Amino acid sequence: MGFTELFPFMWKGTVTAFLISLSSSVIGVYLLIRRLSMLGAGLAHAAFGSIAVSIVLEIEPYTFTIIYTILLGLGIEYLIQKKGLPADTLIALVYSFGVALAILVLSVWDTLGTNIFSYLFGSILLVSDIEFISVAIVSFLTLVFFAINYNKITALLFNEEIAKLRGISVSLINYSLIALACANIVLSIKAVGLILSTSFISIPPMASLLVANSFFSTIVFSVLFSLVSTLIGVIMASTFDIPPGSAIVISMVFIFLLMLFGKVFRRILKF
Amino acid sequence: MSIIALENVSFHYRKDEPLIKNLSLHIGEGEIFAVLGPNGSGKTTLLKLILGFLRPTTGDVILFGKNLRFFKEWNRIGYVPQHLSVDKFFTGSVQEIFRALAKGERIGWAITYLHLEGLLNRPFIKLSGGERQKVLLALALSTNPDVLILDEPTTGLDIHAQEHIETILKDFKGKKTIVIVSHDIGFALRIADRVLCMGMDTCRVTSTETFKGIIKEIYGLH
Repeated sequence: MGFTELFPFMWKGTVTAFLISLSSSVIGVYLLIRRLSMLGAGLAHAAFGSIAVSIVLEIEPYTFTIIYTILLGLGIEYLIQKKGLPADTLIALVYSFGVALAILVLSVWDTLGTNIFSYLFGSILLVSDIEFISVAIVSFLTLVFFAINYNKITALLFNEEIAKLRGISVSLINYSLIALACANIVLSIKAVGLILSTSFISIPPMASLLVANSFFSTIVFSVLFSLVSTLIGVIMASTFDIPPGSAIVISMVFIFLLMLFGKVFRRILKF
Repeated sequence: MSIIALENVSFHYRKDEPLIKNLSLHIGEGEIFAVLGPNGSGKTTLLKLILGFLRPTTGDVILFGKNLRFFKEWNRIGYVPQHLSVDKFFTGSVQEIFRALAKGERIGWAITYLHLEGLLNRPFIKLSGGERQKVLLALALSTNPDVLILDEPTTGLDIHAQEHIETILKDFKGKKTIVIVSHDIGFALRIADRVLCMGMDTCRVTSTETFKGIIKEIYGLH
């Protein structure tokens, strides 16, 4: 069966993937400019530990993990801003702790294996109603917050000190964006799995940097690349019966390489 | 009345290791005041104390007669950070930066005054050092401030761009109070009325002429 025949059965998963790719690619531009793209990898692995704990405690894993990762994300932001600690080291810390916690829980409760695998690799075809609604709400909040504060975000990414002098609440906006980024990262686990969830916030923004010549066009290209990759990934997955998460991420990397070679080629032509 | 005053200001990053110790200074209206000193002497810390980004450990910072804790009129102060402080991944164009940080007719005046019309659609990170410095200066001038504070305005600029910035700042002599943090002694001496030397046992404020004398005495220069 092809994509059109399968669509009635997988529309919820497909819409979920599009929504999360839309909002993650927008917030990813903010994270990339702040050199926090690896926050996705760190928090996704922290989420691994949290999901394992929530399954053992029989708590709804996504709600528990969203709250857990938001608290971790805000903690990381606090330590970067107020204590001057390096972001990459803090991310490595939560990354290691998350994996260590998951391994510990899995070794004690060895019956969790099959449950955990659906989070590791994603299961876009099995999106529940609550997950679908959560993704819709978080995507909506992310896009509305970004649109309302667009000029303020541009200002603080340019220079936080000037932004502060102009009365912009730099800390409030940074903390809010980090919290939204955490929610996006956790919810993207359903689409591509936690191993690949950082791709939504890092690869499309990085590809867009290669072609954009303004902040607005960086966001537009990032969204475009993300949506196109998701579309290609979902069609490939349903046509060739391959995992959708892998297909989406490979499409993203392909688009990135295309933009990179395009840029190199244009430069060669100029000479 | 002093536009900027520091009264017995001390600042410690670490306990028992004061970077700035009991510093008092008064900067008057229309004065160009240079802060000189080697790296790590506390120049940028002093600037951050004046701008309220840091709080003094002891002592008071007073702006326009008001203690910094109660000072709200930040549009009276134009701040020009180092042009190298902007991240190379920031793709924002000059126009987008002005839209985000400078509103009103005054930015139009600053764009014309500094001849920035041709740069508006270009990404800030793709501008030369001199062009970036002029964009930052236009941003600072967009609120028509009484005070301009510049952090290392000539760092990384070629000689022509340095001369251009110097000419622009000389235009404001007597009209705006200007505080310049720099380790470029020649630039500071050409432009400033008074100089604060940091990094010695005690910070010393001298007139530019006295400071030139000290430099001649030490290095035998003319």
